[in-house]
Amino acid sequence: MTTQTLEKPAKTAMNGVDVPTFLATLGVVGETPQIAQFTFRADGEWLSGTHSRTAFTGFHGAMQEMQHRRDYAVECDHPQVLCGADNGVTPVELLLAALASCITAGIGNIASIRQVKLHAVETKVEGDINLNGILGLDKSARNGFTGVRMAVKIRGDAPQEKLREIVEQSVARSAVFDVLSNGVPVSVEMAG
Amino acid sequence: MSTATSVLILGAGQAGLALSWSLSQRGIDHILLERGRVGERWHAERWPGLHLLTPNWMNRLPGPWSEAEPEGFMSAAGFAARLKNYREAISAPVITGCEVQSVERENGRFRVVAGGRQWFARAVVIATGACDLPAVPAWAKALPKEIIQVVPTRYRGAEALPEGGVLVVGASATGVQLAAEIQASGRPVTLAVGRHVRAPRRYRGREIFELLSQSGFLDASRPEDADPAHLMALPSLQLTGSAGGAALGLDRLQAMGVRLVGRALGAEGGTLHFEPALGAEIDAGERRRRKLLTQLETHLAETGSMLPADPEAWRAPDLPRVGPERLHLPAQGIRTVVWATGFRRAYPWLHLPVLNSAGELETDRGTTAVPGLYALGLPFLRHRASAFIHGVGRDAEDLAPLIAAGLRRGIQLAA
Repeated sequence: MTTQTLEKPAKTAMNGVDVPTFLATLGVVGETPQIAQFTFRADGEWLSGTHSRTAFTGFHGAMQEMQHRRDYAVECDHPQVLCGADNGVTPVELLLAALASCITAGIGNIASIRQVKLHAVETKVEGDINLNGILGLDKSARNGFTGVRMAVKIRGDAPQEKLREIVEQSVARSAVFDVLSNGVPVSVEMAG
Repeated sequence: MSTATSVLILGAGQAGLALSWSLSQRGIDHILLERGRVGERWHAERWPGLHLLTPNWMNRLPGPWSEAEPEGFMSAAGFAARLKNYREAISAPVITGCEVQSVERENGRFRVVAGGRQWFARAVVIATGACDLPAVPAWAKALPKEIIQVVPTRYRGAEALPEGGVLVVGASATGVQLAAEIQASGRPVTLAVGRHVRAPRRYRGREIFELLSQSGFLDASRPEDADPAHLMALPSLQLTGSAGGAALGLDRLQAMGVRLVGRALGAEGGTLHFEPALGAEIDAGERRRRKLLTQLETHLAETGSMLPADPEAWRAPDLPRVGPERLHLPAQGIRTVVWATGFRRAYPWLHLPVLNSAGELETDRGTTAVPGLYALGLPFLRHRASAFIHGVGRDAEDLAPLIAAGLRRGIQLAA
């Protein structure tokens, strides 16, 4: 009878994502692209042996310096079988965690924007590595992962096909998937 | 559901497999996406009994490849089996039954949807081949329904055709071979002769490709100023690999009873129009043959060849000069038209600005205007030999270092 009946229902917060605010943020960034320029930082410190601690003190984004809600840090080490003290996960495991959490975050956002209620998202990530590379025992072996596989189990109030599309879109928009598969220039220099 | 690799190769025929070998040698990870089986067209789109026009030494690919009979002519089915063995020998990572739906560039890489999955890559190589779709003239639709129309990719031997007369349109290698075997089946053949290149199977006692190779003819680079459409449409030599590479030409077809008419121009109901000046087309084919033989003769003279002279090869055959302007097919007892008019290509899945107005890939010796997008396995891509299987292998070896360099540059550009 009125135009109101023709409008789609407004999208509502879902899965812990404030969808209206998210969509409004997208609109603002679209108008001012430099808001989207972020620089993330991590500050590492050697503790002992192969044990280290990396703190995430803040980042630059939305045209200003930003702080996390509280201080975060992770500790990494090598396992005892490799003569480490196993005071934390290995750095390469952290990379797997980065991939899992990046794609999971994307699924959370995309499902919510598409108004699909999620019940569970579980990921399993595996990376194969030949340690002869970093041990210097085989110059033909690469140092890093030779392959990374991820399995996503997802349950929600939507047909399987729609859930599959959500996962695919999350992969297509994943920063960690991109940097792992596409490469990135990396430099390491001596600081003063 | 999502896979990332450095290079995606679209198609696992001779071009894709050769490139797989060349990339593996350089340690570049890649995946081949193949809509059917390895070498699908050799399995499904070649007529029974077809033998390759080229002797086996021209059908090799780089890496592990051996053959007992370098001078022999392999059947199409035999070549399909060779490709399957080659794929196993080089452990090519082929995903079969995986048809490409779309290729686009997005966020600094390629996104390919194929086989219901998405694939990401930093480079994509189109190796889907030259023989994509039969190039049947648009006016073929005007022919009445009673006339059966057959394209070579669907032709399954003369016995599968209706009884009665057959019009074969096109006189390159496919047209002359089909005309010969259909005529031999007892179905009277009319052959519409368009642009063609007459060539003897042997000259001065040597197989023609052996001489063409030695004379440098096959090594000729892609001409800079040539019309790409012209290079794509070059007719194949009037040769056959059947019966151990028997001689086959318009004169032999005529002796078999095949009726030669001019180029087919159009249809009006059941009537087909032809170019009556058949002589001009015959003369042009004759000029091409003499040009070819002159190049061989020059090479043989320069190298002081002692091969016996071959005056028979230079003799112009006695062929009709004039053909009918029109033929009413039913009145002539012609119930079937076979279109041996070559192939065209279509890339409806390619969402990148690399197609020209004719819908053909625009490529500069295998590279395209889109960085990271390459083409392999097209006639005259880099050399005249690009149209032949061993030439495709050579092009793959040339392209692999360019792809490797592009991947290195790609990372820097991402900054």
